[in-house]
Amino acid sequence: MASVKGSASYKKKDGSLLLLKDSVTWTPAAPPGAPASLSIPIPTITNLQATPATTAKVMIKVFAKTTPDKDPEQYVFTFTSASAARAEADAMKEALTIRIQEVKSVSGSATPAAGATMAGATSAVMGAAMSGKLTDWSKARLETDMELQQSLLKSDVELTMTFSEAVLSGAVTAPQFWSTRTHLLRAHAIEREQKRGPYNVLATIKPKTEDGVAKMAISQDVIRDIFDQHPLVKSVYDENVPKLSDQQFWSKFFTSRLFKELKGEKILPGDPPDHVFDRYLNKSPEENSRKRRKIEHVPRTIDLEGNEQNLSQKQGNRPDLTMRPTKVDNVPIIRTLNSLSQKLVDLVAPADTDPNENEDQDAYYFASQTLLDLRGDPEEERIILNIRDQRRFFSGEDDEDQNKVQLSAGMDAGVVLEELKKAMGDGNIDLDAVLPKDDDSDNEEVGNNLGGKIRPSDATKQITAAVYDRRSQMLHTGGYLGASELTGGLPLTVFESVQLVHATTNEFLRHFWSAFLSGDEKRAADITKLVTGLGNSKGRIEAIAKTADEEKEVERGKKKKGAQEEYRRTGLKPKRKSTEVGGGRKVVEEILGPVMNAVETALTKYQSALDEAEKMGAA
Amino acid sequence: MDGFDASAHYTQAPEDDKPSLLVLILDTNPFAWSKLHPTLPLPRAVASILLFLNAHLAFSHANRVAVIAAHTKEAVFLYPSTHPSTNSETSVTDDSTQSSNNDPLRDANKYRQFRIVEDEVQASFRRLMASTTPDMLAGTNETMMAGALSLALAYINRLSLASEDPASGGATGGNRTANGTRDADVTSMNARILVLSVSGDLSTQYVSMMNSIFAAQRKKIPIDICKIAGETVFLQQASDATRGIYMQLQHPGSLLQYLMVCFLSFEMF
Repeated sequence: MASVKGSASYKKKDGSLLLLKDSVTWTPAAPPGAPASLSIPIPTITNLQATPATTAKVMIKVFAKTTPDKDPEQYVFTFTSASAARAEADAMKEALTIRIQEVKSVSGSATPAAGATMAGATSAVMGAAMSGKLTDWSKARLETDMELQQSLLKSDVELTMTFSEAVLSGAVTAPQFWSTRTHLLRAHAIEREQKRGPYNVLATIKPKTEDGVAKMAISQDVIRDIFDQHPLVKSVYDENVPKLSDQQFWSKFFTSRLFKELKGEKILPGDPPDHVFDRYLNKSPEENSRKRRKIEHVPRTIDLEGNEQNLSQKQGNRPDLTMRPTKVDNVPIIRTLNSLSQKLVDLVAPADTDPNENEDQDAYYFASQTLLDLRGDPEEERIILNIRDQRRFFSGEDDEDQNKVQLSAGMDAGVVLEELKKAMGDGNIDLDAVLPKDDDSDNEEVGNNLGGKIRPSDATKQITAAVYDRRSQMLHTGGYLGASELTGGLPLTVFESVQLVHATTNEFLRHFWSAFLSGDEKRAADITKLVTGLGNSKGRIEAIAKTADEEKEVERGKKKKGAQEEYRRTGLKPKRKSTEVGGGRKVVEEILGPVMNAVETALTKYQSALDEAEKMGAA
Repeated sequence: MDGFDASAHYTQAPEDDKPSLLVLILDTNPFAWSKLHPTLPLPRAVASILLFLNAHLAFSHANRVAVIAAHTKEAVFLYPSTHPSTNSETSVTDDSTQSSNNDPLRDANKYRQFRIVEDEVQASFRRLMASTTPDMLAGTNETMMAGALSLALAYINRLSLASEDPASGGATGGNRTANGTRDADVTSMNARILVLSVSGDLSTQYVSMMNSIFAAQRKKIPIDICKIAGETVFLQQASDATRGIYMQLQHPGSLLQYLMVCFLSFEMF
């Protein structure tokens, strides 16, 4: 591995940071040729942090745990290169991350019980990623994030099966496996980062009243949310709770008029008065209001304070109709909902603003206001594709075409036309006479029995079969069928292994083609390995077919026995159908046929490429 | 599949009784029909189709049919015919057809609508055959399926717009003043296309075929395929994409049976 180097200061002394095979060393610059004064072995590193890309200072913080029971030590390196500090830091961070990951994964797989090591490694990677950019869903990051992969595997059983079949058996390496599944990782990462926001707590609480006493179970979380959203409740709680018990407070609160007011419901005269809570009714909204999030910098473009001098109210006008306060007592819910929504929004920290971007916001607003459609259409940069002979793209139909050409070529257009014209006749067709009759009467009419004898039952058979097919497909997707119909008569265990082999073989095929078509000579070794894997798949399919046959025999034996017993008991000959058993080799081969074909194709292509390469080598 | 509920198929609300329009596209490739002659002679096929159309018309007096021939070099309407000589005589006006020996309107033994469709389809079919010269057939073995599909879609669009507007409604043929500004997504008719295909090879029409298919898909017009002979991938795609029915006939002789059993009802799914 190439060593990564960067000039960095440690404890305010200039020097250079160097990443070696298994350690990070820092050499002071002051006395030239001085030996490395600091060396951090990579296995001891537990965490890694870097300053975000937007800050001016470029620093990397390395946490290393040299002794198991001591707290990790911190080493802070500030990159000092005038021109390329950021680039050097990034390279160092990346290289370090990869090295840590490698070291940990080796030790992790060697001793799976050593969970601490694993956790350390992942937190190191996560730390590096988190302190970098939150939205870093790049391929490289995802494919090295082991914790993410683990959690994805945990949430997807099918993937776990494929993973264990393909990776743990050693045919495909873990990075290979993930390299074709970046999209899954990305989706999972995004999914994990999403959090549930606050919601209107009071609206979700539905007090049940039993014997005039409200009963409910509210969790600590709910209480906290109520306090957050309604500071008034918190102050009421503070003032009253020592006097009242906690239980009493809440049960009274949920039946009180105050609760109704906060929810925005109308207070009815019939609602029971409550001497504790009614004091707090109609408190001015300011007292109940939350602290507004402080906005430090309002971009000039949207700063309304600039409009002060244009305010017509200062000249004595009434405020605009929409700005006048109205009697809202009739519809308290509107006001409550509005203020609550505002609160909820304020409770969520904005995720999309960066404090560093304040200066640019004016420019941003200016840019967003320009009328882009006045600028005329941008020049289109399309490439015109001309398809000359579309026929060539549908090679599957070639044979058909050629047959067809010959067929029509063998016939003379004039003759054909005359025949058709004659058949159609001059006048209208007598529908009754032309159509085939049920019985043998069509033999009598010489002109109309051309179509030969028609048995409606043939067509009926086809139609019924199609309807049955359609029905079973529909039931399939609906999950209405029993297990044996779903699996084509295979026992469930066999069917599961069929599914597994199918998944793994596809996995092999995918990697084979991505390696084979990459044209990368370095991957030649991979390809050979994958080809053996593909060859093994054939063996595995064969083995399953064999078990399926055996199972079928066992099942048939059972059924026969059952039928014989039935015969002995009842004296009735059982119907033949009841001893028939589905499944067996045929079904397995039917199901896996396409995959087998794909494997064959892959192997043939590989063989021909191999032969060619050998020929080239010989020549 | 989690959360997939197939019972939706059964709990579907009953179809509203909108009138339905059936556009039948008949592949009239002479070579293919000549090849089919031993199993399904053309007259019998035409008779089956006519009976099928009658059955469709019989369901409701508001039901409509249209027949388009996908010929070797062109796609033409067989019914309603745009041919000037028959248009004035046979459409809904009160004149007699040129070809029938007895006045269709005075034939007491046949429902008038049946008679009109039968006469006109056959007359225009003969006209089409008469206008085809051997030179026109030379070197071609395909049919203008894409053109026929486009015609069918255009016709459906026009008719559904026209029948929405009482002012221009009622006219089946001839009326070219379609109100293009109406919201085309609201259709007052259920429309469906049925293709009777006897030849294969549509690969040169790939792009236009696909365009027609997507248009039909968007308009929710199912394209049913009754494949009598030949092999075409595109028609399979057409029925698949538009949720139509695809049926490859194993016994072409029983065409009428297939038509009546598989293709008569609307909205199977």
